[in-house]
Amino acid sequence: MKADVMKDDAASLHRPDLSNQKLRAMLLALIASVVLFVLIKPYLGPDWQRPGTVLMQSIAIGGALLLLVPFLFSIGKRGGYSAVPNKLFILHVAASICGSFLVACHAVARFDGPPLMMLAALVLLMITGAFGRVYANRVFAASFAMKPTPFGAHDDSTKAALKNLIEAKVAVLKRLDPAAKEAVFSVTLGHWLRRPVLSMAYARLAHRESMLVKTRQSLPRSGAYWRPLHLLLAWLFLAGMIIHIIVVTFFAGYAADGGEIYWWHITAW
Amino acid sequence: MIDLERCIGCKSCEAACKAEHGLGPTENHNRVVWLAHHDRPGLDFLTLSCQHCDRPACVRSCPVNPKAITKHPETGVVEINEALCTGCGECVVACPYGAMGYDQIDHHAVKCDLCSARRADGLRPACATVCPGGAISFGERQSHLQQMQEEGRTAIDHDAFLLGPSNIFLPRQTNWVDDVMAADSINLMDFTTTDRQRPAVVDDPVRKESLLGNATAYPYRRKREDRQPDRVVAGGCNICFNCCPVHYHIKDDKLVRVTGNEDDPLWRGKICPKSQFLLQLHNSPERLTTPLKRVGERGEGKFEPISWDQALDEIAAKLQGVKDQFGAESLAIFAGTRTGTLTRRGYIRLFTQLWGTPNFGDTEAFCSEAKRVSFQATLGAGGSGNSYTEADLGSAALYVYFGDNQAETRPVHFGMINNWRLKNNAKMVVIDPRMTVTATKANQWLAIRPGTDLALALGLAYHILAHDLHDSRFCENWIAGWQEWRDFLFEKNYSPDWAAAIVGIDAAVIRTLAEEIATADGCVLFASRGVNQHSNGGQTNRALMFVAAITGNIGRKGGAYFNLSMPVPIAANAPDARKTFPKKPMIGSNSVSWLNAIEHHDPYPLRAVITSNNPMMAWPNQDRVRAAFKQLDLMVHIDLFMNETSHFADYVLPAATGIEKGEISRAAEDRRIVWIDKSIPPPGDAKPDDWFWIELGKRFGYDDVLKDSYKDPAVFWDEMLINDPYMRGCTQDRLHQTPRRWLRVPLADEDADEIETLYLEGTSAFGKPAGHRFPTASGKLEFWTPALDQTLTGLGLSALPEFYADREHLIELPYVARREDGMAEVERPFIHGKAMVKPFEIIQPHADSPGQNLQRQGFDTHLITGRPPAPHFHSWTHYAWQAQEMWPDMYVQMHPDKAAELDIADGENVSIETAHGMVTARAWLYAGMRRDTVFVPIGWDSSQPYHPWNSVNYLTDEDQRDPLSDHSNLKSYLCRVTR
Repeated sequence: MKADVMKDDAASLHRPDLSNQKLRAMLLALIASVVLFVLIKPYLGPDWQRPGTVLMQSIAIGGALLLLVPFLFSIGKRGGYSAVPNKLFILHVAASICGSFLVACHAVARFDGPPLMMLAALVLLMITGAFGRVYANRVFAASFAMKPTPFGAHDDSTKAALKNLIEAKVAVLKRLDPAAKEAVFSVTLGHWLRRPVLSMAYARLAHRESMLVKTRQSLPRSGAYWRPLHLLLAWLFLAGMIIHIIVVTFFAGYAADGGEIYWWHITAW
Repeated sequence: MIDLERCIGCKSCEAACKAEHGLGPTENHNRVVWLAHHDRPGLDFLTLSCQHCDRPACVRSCPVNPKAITKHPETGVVEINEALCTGCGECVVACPYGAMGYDQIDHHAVKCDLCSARRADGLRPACATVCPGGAISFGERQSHLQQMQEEGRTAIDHDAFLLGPSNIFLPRQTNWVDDVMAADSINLMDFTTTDRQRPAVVDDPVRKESLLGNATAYPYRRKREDRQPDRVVAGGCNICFNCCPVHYHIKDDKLVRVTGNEDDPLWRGKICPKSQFLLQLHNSPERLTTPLKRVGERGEGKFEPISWDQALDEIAAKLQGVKDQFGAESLAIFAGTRTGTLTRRGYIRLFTQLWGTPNFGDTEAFCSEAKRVSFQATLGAGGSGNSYTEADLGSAALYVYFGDNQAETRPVHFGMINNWRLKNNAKMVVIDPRMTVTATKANQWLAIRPGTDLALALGLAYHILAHDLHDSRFCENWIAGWQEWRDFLFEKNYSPDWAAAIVGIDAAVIRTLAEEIATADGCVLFASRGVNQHSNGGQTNRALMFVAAITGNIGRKGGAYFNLSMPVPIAANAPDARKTFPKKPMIGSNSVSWLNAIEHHDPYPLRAVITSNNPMMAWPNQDRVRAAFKQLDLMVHIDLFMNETSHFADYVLPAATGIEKGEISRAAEDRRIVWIDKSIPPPGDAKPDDWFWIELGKRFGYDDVLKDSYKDPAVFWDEMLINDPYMRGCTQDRLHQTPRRWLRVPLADEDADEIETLYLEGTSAFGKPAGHRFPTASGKLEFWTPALDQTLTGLGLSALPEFYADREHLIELPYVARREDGMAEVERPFIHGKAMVKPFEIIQPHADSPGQNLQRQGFDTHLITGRPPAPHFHSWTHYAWQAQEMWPDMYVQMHPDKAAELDIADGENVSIETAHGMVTARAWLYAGMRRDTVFVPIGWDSSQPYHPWNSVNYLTDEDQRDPLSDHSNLKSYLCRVTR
């Protein structure tokens, strides 16, 4: 019997999952597709040779749109828009892989310049994402009952600091979401949209609590930090992509650097 | 509420949790963490699961909206909705208790919900139900706090981060004294994990990786609705001597769960992990399902599948050939406890009687023969007459364990004893070279030199008798030869001072212990393999029994000499007219005697062996066992799984067990017969051993005795196995009338009352004349009688135990050796059948003794062996993936100081070598060891899946045996440890 096809409870009925095997296969397919594209590219027509052609620009736009899907996943799961958020997770992986292929096709047409940083971020995103799913989960499973800290000698100063923090959180929460209980509360997308300043204040307090409890130090770094790194890379990539779009659309002259402006753009500053 | 004083680290709660929730390898809702200080002896067991905090960090960390983890507003239970979880792991990171589990196959968090499905049915959580020690209790927090206050206890403060954990942890109560390592009591009540380490050999996450994939068998990782039984059958666990009453949950003729029988008023659902691993055993895809015939060389492991008819026909033809050439005695049958009592004492017994071979061997000579012979010689029965009830063993004021690690070998019984100890404020003393789990619960641990318990027993008795602390009325009325023994002790000057120099325990401590035993209102002396498996096991058992007897602790409630298992007279007999009486005596009463017969035809040829155990793991001196078995003309192995023995067999036959065949559990410690109904079919073409013997018998025309109708074990039981008056009332009808499915014998008829305690004052032994309180010829306990003395003198011993030890020691001690002066063989006493033995002699210490010679060769450390932790049991659990998950590797426990000398780190692979062989194992640095001693557990073999290791019996010697019982010394050798 294959262990990975069986599951205990209701989750298996409603919660689809992307197995490690499938994820690996999808990543291998992506790599193979990119390699294949690079190999056959010299034999393709001129529209495939430059990143700004109508064809390649369209491909890039398609890739960029697909790469925005992960942000939908992020919004969907934080905004309460999905009964089974893992469906969005799978969508985010599939869209990312397809988007990455398209962006890679666009990028290999001219493999230099600042956009390479975006490409690097994209590669790192995929590496951290795959690592988190395939390897960090082992760290999570192996961490069970491996944190004896609460049974060790207690630090009274930490307790006192935590007490103050909790009081501060309660005070902020009264204004941020009076009906909420600090014990189980965390800032949601709705809070961020409605009360960003208070949300930020509360998030900072929560972060300070986490630092005091040393939560991330309680796991091997690979397990504790893959996700913050993945999120950071995602934001960096998003920022880079926006900058890239603005530059080629509004600062086409700067992007061309004295060369031909052959792509669709609005202004050629 | 979790009581650290009651937790014995057996991990039964883990097994129950995985079975309840269908969790696979690496998935946890709970875990028992083993913790030890680096530099002081002791173990503590921290049962970790979700704390259901008032401020659950996991809930706050969950980024999903609505949250995948919620806290129930009424019950306070923190639950996860796995459908909402995206598997980001933030909750795992956030929980400072490490109590969030993770399903690394399906990528989502998993966690304890206090068994919501069970609670909905009005049941307790699975972990609390099975806990052998009663360490986990479930209920309202307030009522737990109240109970805690009433008991005068305070909870451990484990709220380091103001999360408000709901679980209550009660610290240790016992302050124990260690007379070897430190002079002072050690306070265990200030429980903290600071400065405590986990042994590398337990719960090693790296070793768990090998269990993923195909290891997890049905019904783990199945949906809950697919695991719901359509019937529940009461029965018993057939693995160990605890014989726990269980419920088998069956769906579509497949086992889906094993739980403790909560209808049993004594057990109330408690079981150890092994019982629960029956689920993994019965459903394992690795089970043998078809007969196999060897096609490669012996030991090579190459086989082809064949039909049962072909297998039986070929085996019968080869057996006939061996019989024609070498005689009926050239067939030997070795069947241990895996085979089942009905098979061994019923079907095989009939076959041997019909065939005409005296050479049937079981594992007694490796486990308990020393005990049985000693009890037989002294008490007239094979074991104690006491029971695990509150009124009997539960009423003792003092428990003294000699080499009996009951907490790991019979966890449920130990849980009972430990609870009675705490309830009655009784004292517990453990005498063992290592601080076992049992010892960690004791008030006092005495780290005795291995194999010198006889000296300690003699020293205790000397002090008791020298100071008139004995129960003179009992001695006068009920002991034959106690004065002779007293005089002998005084003559030999076996004083506490004499004993102290041998056992390594201070004489004052010995005196104090003697006085405590003598004055306690009920003292139970427990002994087990730690006493039996030595070349002085017989006399040590007798001496310890004498100590119990002279203090009036035999034949009373709350007083006993208790060495596990109590044989009961279950035996099928063929009509005399159909028996073929052997022309020759047994080759020997210990089956390792067969090696000489195979290799050297001494005393006569042995050419065929049918075995249904794993002698390639269990017999001493594995190099020689292998060499000998390769020389057989025919070897048949009947078992559940392929193991090391299978590889040497000509035919490997797939067996059925437990609820696949119908049988009783093993010989219970306290005379209980636990019936197990045949309830599910065996896997594939596997057959009960019983079926094999009947079908093989047919090929020799034995079917008039080994009848086809006896394939129904219930019919066989009533017709053939309860003919002894002791058993007559233990019928199928009566067994099935009780929901607990067990009866305590003797039962003269179906209406007879069960007897809690035998041999009480004013009673007569079962089947004996009035006034015969004990079932000996004299009706008294027999220390010394002229007849007994004559018998033992013939062996080279004396009815009055004289001190000697095992051959290999670090100090100079007397030891036994076979006489080489041409003295004639004598008939071995106290055995079933006839076997001849060469007399022995006790050799006094001398400069060229074996121990001295070995030390000169660099064997500078004492090796002891014993049972591994509770989840393991010989070959039974090799294929239980969860046992392999908990304790994957064979290990060698050694003192950190010893390890430092050898530059060995915890978890490192090291070699252990004796004069008889070498094995490797992982080091476990543990301060609860004598510095001159290392411990290696039994149970692993080189053919088991996942984590194979060579058996510890590569280190032992088949020739070192107890003169009185022929019991093998499996315990005590000199060794050297190297990186």
